[in-house]
Amino acid sequence: MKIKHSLIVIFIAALMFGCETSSTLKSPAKDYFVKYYGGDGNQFATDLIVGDDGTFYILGNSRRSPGEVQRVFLVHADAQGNVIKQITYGNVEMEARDFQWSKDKTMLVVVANKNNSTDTDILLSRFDPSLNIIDSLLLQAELAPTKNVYANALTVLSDGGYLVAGYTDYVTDPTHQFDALHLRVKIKNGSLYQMVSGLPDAWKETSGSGTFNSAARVFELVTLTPADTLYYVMGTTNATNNQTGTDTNFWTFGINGSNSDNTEFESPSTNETLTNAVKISLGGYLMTGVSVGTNLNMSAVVKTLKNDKLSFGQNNVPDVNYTYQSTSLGKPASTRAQFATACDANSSSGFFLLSNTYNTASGASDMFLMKLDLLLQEAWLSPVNIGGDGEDTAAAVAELPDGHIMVLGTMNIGDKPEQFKIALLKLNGMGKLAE
Amino acid sequence: MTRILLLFFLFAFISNSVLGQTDCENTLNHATTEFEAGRFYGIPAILKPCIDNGFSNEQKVRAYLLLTQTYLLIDDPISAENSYLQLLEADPEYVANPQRDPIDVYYLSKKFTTVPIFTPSFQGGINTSFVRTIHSLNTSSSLSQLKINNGLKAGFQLGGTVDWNINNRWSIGLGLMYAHKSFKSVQDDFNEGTRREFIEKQDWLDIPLYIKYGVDSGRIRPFVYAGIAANLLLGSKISPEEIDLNSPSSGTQQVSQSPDHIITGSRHFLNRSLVFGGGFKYKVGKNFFTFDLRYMAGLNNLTSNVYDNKLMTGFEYSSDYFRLDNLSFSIGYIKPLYKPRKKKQAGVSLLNKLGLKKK
Repeated sequence: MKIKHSLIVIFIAALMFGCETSSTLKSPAKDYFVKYYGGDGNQFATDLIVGDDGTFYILGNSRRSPGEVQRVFLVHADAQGNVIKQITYGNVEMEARDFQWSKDKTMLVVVANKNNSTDTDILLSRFDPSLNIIDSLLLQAELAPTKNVYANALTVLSDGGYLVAGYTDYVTDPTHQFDALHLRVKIKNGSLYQMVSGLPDAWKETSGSGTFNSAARVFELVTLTPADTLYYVMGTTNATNNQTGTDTNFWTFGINGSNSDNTEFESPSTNETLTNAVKISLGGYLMTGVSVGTNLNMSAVVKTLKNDKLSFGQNNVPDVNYTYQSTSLGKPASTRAQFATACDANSSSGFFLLSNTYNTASGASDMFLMKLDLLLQEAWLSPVNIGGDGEDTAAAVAELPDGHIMVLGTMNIGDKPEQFKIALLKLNGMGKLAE
Repeated sequence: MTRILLLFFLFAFISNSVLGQTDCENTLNHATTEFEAGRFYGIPAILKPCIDNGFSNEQKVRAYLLLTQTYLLIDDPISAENSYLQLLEADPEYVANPQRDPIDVYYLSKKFTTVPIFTPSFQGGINTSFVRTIHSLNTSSSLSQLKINNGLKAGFQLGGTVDWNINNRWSIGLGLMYAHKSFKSVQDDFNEGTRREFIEKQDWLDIPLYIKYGVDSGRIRPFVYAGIAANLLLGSKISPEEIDLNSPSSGTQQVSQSPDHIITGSRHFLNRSLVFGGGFKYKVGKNFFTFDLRYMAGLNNLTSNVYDNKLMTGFEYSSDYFRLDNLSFSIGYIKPLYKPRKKKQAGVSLLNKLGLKKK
């Protein structure tokens, strides 16, 4: 009897214990993951697009070994971050800058095409959804003498064309070291075609009254009359009220031939650089950048423009500013680019700010992620730091419809950090690698 | 001179002992002759001096058996039971046999048992662990370019068990074993041209509870058991190593190693498993050596945190969701705590408790 009872007790206990299998235990990969991209050599992240189907498109750069040219690295990954297809392209030194989907489901990629140290052009390429190349166009400014042109961002226009924002340098003109660049491309006879200043296009390619002017992003304001359509350019300038100034500030202006709004977000004695801007779903714009003051520490700066009409502080409605200042942010070495970006959160619940911290002494850096509410107040108690011992840098942040946060960056991996790899992280709504 | 004296005393001791046993053997033969002649009443007195001092253990068994038969024949059942109990004290494994022993002794023997209530044992040995992946979770984005192999590593265990003997053959065992378990994962990343090896070393406290069936006679006594176990993961650490097959240049290798990294916080502390095992006991004197092959099938996922920041950035490591099975071989020692006693009459105590027993 005792044996029978013992067997029953142990059998019941075993049943209660149960066995965890793939069918009874949910894979965490659907909720959070870290994925590295790239093969041999170093890969650096540039931008991320979340597809309507939940897949990811990643743009970056890849240099397989120190002696080889850097090529563009384009990845299509599934919802768990696994590569569906990846390609590299470029025969000269390349630097991927931005990519966007067009309305006809072609992918546009804009790249700095560095023929040599004094000749950089912009390469605009079109790909089908399977990442097969359709065509390419090398964009150059008409200005003489030959100038380097650099792209920062790409905007898809309602007429099926594109606007490439960036800057051009004037190596021989001390009064205009950099001018904001806004090259316009349209589809003509099924091919990419760059509009020029002369007839029949009459498109103005550059703007700027300071010695340093750069466009970071362009937005199109569609009107009923196509001729009145306005293009808002956001960037950085050191001009003050159209006069040459001494420090750089956020800058917005409009272009369409007749309208020339031109305004600055003035912040005396600190140098602001706009690195990204997005249109807010509730209206207005979210501008993100960095600020470096006299103490040489960096700040991440986020600013919202409350109205679609570009003007800082217009109609006496103060714009909202947020500055994350912390000694932990440090300041990167002069050779390192400072970066901050932000995205609009779903359900209009706020914004996600992604930037970098720098340890000046060690040279290491991490990404930091912060959620801000609509009034740009910190929604989290503290930022989430992402990174290891090396130089880990931010590239893009996005929020998925289910509230998960996607962070794209470059991580310096290795026991003694050596190689750089593109990293895509899926985080929970609090920025954690957890359910 | 001292050596001669020592040899003398040793010789004297052995001679005395042998002579004593020879005398008692004669006494035992004399008592047997008396028994066969039907002169029963003098037998206890004949045997008493040697029982008190002189019989070997084997002679005691024969003497008490003779006394048991004698008391049964002179209708003294209490003394017969006492004698048989003394017999079992001398040889707890004595089993009456109707072909060999008188039938009345055989029936008397049925009233007794020598089965130990508890049998402690101590054991130690070696083990190896098998990773059973539930969900493969890795930081590589090119799964077709990644090959993962889980390899075996040797560990060891040390501990003891206590068997609660239900009867001669069935028992319930509860153990407490410290076990050092180890396993490795080798990842060949053809996309990056790297090979990474992670050896995980874990310290466990295993508490198995099982029901065991064993053969209860013979010099070699096989047994099998099955049950469950609580497994407490006391500590876990990983030794990572990475070989970059194309660094610093194509065709050359660079090896990166890091000291053991503690990941106890990334593992569940309380785990559970099924236990199956078998082996045999080898009788040496009244005690046993055991040879035990045990398989513990892990039931739950061990991973609580997939990512450890240091390993994730240093070695692109992330932990799978996995169960851990363990195969162990132990050699042990059992000293049975024999307790010769009369069997309880089934149901009587319960009837007594209920007040239903007829007076």
